[in-house]
Amino acid sequence: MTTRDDTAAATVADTGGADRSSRLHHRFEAIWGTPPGIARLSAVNHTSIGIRFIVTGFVFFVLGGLLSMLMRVQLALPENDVLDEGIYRQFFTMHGTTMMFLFAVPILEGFAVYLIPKMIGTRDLVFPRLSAFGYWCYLFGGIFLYSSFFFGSAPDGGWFMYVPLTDAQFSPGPNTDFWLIGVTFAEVSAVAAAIELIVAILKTRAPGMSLDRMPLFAWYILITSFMIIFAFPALILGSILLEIERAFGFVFFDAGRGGHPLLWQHLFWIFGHPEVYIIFLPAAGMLSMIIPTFARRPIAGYTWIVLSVIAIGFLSFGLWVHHMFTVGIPQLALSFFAAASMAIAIPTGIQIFAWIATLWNGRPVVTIPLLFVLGVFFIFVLGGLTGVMLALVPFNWQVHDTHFVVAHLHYVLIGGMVFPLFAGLYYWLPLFSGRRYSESLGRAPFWLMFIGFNVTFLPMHLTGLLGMPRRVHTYAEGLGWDWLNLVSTIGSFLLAAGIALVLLDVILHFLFGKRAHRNPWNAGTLEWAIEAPVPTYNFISIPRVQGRDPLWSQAELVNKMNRGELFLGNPDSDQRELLGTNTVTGEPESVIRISKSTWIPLLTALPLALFFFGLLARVYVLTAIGGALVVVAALVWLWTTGHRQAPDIVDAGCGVSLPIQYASPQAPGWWAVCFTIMADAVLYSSLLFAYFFLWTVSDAWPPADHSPGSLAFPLIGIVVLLASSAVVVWAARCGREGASVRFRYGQLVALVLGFAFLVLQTLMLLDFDMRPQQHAYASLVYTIVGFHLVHIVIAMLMAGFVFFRSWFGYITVSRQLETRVSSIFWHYSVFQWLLGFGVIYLFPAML
Amino acid sequence: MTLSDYRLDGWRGVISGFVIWAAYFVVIYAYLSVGCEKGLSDAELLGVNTVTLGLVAITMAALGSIGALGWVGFASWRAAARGNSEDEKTTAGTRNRFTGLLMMMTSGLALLSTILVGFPVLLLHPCQ
Ligand code: HEM
Ligand SMILES: [Cu+2]
Repeated sequence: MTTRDDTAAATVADTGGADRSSRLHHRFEAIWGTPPGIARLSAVNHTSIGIRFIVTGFVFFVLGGLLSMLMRVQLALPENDVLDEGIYRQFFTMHGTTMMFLFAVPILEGFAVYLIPKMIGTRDLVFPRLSAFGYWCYLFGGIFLYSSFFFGSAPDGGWFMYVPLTDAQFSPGPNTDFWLIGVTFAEVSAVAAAIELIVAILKTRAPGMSLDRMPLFAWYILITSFMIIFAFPALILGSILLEIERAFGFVFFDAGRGGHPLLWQHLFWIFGHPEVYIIFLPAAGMLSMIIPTFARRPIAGYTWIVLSVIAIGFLSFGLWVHHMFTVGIPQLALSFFAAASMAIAIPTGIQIFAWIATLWNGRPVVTIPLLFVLGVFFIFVLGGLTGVMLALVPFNWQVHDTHFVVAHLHYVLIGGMVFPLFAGLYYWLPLFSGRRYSESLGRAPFWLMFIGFNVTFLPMHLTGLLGMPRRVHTYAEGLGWDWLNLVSTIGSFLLAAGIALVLLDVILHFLFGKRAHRNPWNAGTLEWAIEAPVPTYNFISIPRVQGRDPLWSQAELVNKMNRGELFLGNPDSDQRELLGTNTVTGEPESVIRISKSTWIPLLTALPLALFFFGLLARVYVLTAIGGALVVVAALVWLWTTGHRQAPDIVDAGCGVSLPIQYASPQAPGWWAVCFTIMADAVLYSSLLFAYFFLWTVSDAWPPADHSPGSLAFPLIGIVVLLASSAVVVWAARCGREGASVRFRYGQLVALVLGFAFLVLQTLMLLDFDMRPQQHAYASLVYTIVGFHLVHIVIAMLMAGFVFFRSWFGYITVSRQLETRVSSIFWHYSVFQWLLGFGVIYLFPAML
Repeated sequence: MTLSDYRLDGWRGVISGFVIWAAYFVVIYAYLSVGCEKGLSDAELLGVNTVTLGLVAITMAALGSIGALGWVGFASWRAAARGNSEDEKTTAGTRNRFTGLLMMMTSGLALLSTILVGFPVLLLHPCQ
């Protein structure tokens, strides 16, 4: 283990090296730096984007917090009239929505975006434009939601927006539309960031960082990101369906015409329960990094922790129905979900034991981050206990929809997420600022928060048991709830004061904090090998790691790294370069060149906002214009990726030459497409789930006297589609063999076939004897067909794109990435319709 | 080749136990919902309700395959751990030990979760 003095001594002895490293610093800074002034907005670098997410997340935290303070003021006294019922409804809805969608998920992703590349030893995320785009989506989504206040019509259906409360009849105003559109926007951002983080973790770890040496935070983020890919599409689909129902009169949730309100609950909670763990896991990942540093020993039970992260990732999907205990599902089905709720306690417990064991066997120093960690133990364990109580079915009936639930939820969310987040904030602060916070100043806000929190939420357990329902704006005197509510409100002011002090402390430390040097905590992981505050390129050269805590075991690492002696230490290419490595072993495979600063992400997100705005205002011309502009922007975006002139093989330093990503079978773009398809497949499966769910609850499906229409058009359509797939396979083979003319002909033929299919599907729908407004069955048929047609259109755009790319020489025998991407998407789209056809035509015939 | 010679590389082995659990969970829930809604539970075979019978069969299949995976993980782990001491120091040696052990552990927990979920099938009437 190196102490700080060793490194300092080594640096002094080595002034020649220092010269060299400062020269390299300036050259890399020129490549990676962000332009000044307004052009900062064009930055795409992960450090900038991460900070944007984090700062914006805190702004929303403050907004959501203000809403909750106002609610607490209203509830302080019985029969109070600060907020009337309608406003109270808007406030709790916006508070919950803000906290869950605009604060918790984005800020944790922001930390991941900022930290992950530094921890795994790379210079940036692999798709910088996508991260920038994700940020804009998030920001615009948040602005959408909050702009509803200016129209006096903020969403008011509760954060889970149950239908029928939110359908066109009960909620005719735009309140619900604001929610559906704003939240979907923010979720698109979350999915984009998730895909990006997965690819970064799997493909760009430092050499030698095999799976068993990954920092635990990376494991947590990896699993969380997969959970996002599997969970968020369910709600995105639910939101799309509800929006189509509201805007165009389709039927999905309206029981009168074959729909069912329970469908919304299913889609929401398939998302919603994993969501709780999506919030909790990254926060737990922070704890798993902080605890070993302050216990001054490696984490105990690394493998056990990885086990529990994986287990939680899966098990959390098996809980969704436990929010619907009272809606008349068979006992046995309920017991499956209750069992999963019990099972998930095991991995959660394992983690906590590993943390405690680490502290127990270490020599802990109680710094402010560790203080917050101890706070977590206390709060989260209590929240877990009440969670087990809620999982007991009879008890759940008792306190369902009371303040007991509100208390439980805040114990879990604030204990499981806000406290770890603040621990992480203090812990990584030196990287952001190059300064140290003051240990003595930081204690007061912690204690204020801790005490304030408990004083706020402990009494809510009691009011809940005494029967005080949640989501009521006031209550009568003399039910025994009065003083408890008053105490709770006083507590919430303490809590808010604590949070305000933390934010103040952080802001002040940027101005007055003592200078921090590299690795002020003497931690073991790679992010601390970087000088503080971090330079834009992170690492002058990329080290090979030989263990889980390289800074503890590899003495010369930092010096060699800074002299540019390791991987990619040569800035001569004038490009932003990353090292692509093997998923399992972490051995170098390719050199990845990525984008510099550009306006394209913003210019793509703006028309997307226009598209959504058109939907909201029901001015569909704007939607159409926005949509068209998005397509144009996306094409420009894609066209400007990839360097035609880049050599196929690049010198990666350390005597290794590697293929550039376009020529590598392991290109990150390929992985990203696979994960995008995965997310899309979940979206599609949710749609098919809707079909089958409504089938199980309906009497007649398809409704009496109706059928999907004649088989003629769809059968010809299937043949056409299969033929197109064959053509795409053939064209790709020609491309690989260098017959680029035939390759391009192939794309043209595929385009023609795709177009023919579009026509055939239109004929098929015309032949169908129901309108989607009549019955849920027809709505689903139309939606399944329409959903698929969108895919065919995208696949056709991609085929046209590779046609031109081949024409202009971007696609060559050795550079097959774009062909592979467009082909797999094509086949996926074809496959999607095979399923759709089966569901629409074969399934009813089987009944 | 026997089961203990079989290897699943790196990350695949590590998640398969729970992938099976997830598939199992979806299948029994779907089967139960459809079975009850569409009246399968009215039929009986050997005096047992057909829905229950199906659920038991699915559970056994899940248990069997997760168990097999756990065994494979155990064998890989042992093989990597037994490897000669040279091998032990290499990156590949420690890595394989890690993935083997993790595969065994994830399968174990998946097995336990399957038992927890499947057990009530024996106790409760499926559709009430
Ligand atoms: C800053 C301190 C906080 C206070 C004082 C607070 C207070 C409240 C109150 C009074 C309610 C409404 C209870 C009702 O009448 O039903 C509520 C609901 C809720 N809060 Fe908080 N909260 C805080 C922080 C958070 C955080 C950090 C999160 C999530 C990360 C969160 C998530 C929620 C959710 C999801 C709801 C349910 C909204 C609904 O019923 O639709 N809260 N909170
Ligand atoms: Cu839940």
